[in-house]
Amino acid sequence: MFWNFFPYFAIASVLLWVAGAFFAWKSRPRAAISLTAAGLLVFFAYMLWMWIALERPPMRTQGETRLWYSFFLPLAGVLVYSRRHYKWVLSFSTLMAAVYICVNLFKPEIHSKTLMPALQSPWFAPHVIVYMFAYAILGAAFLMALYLLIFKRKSKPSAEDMDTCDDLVYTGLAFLTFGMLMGALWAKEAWGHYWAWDPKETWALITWMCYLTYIHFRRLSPKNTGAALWILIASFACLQMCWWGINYLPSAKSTSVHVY
Amino acid sequence: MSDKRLSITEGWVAAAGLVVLGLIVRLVAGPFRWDVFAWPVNIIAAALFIAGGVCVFLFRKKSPVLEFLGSLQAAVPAMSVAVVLTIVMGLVRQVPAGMTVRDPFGFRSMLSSWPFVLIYIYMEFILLQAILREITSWRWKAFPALVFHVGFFTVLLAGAMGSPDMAMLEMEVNRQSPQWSAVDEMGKTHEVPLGIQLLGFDIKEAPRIRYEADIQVLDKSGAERRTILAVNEPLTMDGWKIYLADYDAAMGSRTETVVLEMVRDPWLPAVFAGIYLMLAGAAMMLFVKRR
Repeated sequence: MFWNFFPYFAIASVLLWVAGAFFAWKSRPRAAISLTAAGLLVFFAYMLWMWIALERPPMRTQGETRLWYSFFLPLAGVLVYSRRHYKWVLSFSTLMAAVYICVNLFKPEIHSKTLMPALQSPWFAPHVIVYMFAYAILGAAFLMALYLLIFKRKSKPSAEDMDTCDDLVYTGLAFLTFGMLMGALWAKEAWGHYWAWDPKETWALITWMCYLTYIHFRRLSPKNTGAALWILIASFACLQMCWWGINYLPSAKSTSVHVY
Repeated sequence: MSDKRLSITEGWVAAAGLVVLGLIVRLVAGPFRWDVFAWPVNIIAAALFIAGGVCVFLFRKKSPVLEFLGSLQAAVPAMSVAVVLTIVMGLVRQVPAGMTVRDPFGFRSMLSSWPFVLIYIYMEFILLQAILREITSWRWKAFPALVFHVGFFTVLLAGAMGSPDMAMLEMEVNRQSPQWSAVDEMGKTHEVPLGIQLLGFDIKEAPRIRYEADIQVLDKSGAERRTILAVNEPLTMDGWKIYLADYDAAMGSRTETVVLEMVRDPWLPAVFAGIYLMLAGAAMMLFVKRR
């Protein structure tokens, strides 16, 4: 029922983000940042309203986690933009957020009001929020890698560009670490063991180690930027598998407690 | 001083070689046997591993191979191969522990697969070399990485060595008399030092669904403890953590039995120390200027 209001908020937010991205191209940072921030406020208002109406954090279903992602991605974009003033970053983050919003628009879901007992824990909200933020930061790194590999393939990435990728990965990896270890501490409390090699946990470890490999590869071969950027692409693929791909994997579908 | 340094090629050869070696060992010796590492074998193995690592570190200048074992040229291929094998584990349906299945490479029980175990041991060894280097050639800039490394090293070592000592048992308790035995994942019954009896059960519907079991726990000395167990609210007693796992749904709150999960994990404090170090290292990474 709640999702009936979503299109209005979503369209308003996306329009504000598009305007922000436009002013970024026109090298007008103050307008770009203000408009993007306004879009974020509108979107967050919807999420807050949903949280209050459902009487639980809206993070139990795929659709709900996509909401958080659609919020954090432009946030990550505006943070990168405010530091580096890349003209294109807000366009990319808006586009990616819009993709996830469209998925929600075309796959509306019905939500029950109550939370399963296992999810009624103070760990639930922080674990999911931290992960969604990490995914958004690493999504920005992915967008950066795409931009450098495809649109700027004729020239070698500048040191500043690679610094941006590195900064995003260090930040994203830190939050991935928080999320993964929070999950472990929560699992110990709720299920009796901190690590059960559930497919979700296995893919979380894979994703985490992929980004760890990027960091070490960058220190080993700083000049080999092409390979580094491809590692980012592959790592993001593993991230998507961890987030929602396992729901479709035959080996994980019936065995994972995380499939939702 | 050695003037011949090994390159990343050797790193890839080493990592791939370990996978091949692992496959051969599996054919000859069968799956990796974790139960061999029950106490005290695990603590001895851990001590030997660390001692061996320290020796390699102390003699690293004498041989390019030893020097190499602490380098990024060794680390990056090791991590990459570990990721690949873990991806295989993520893609292939894993059989439950204790079940055996015909499987040429052992990838359906990856945790007992020699390639997997060997590559993670190798990675752990390289990690130890990195830690020793960071400690002995101290730079404050490397402090977050050192903390993170020590944390991850501890989690891997304590987690792996602690797993044979871990017991996760299921106990079905009833209202009539205390239960003193519980069943493991394979259905084998074990005596436990706690006797548990169900005194009551309640399902609260508002404000949120909550399941509560009123239980009495006795220990061997006769001491009694009465408490309410709820989901996400386990009881800790005598080194055991007791979780409410299940009840007879058909009977609702008049259920005659509840199922409890009992967990004992003596290496847990070490794992938790490692986890907290990793959290601290990750937090430091956010705030420390890298340039």
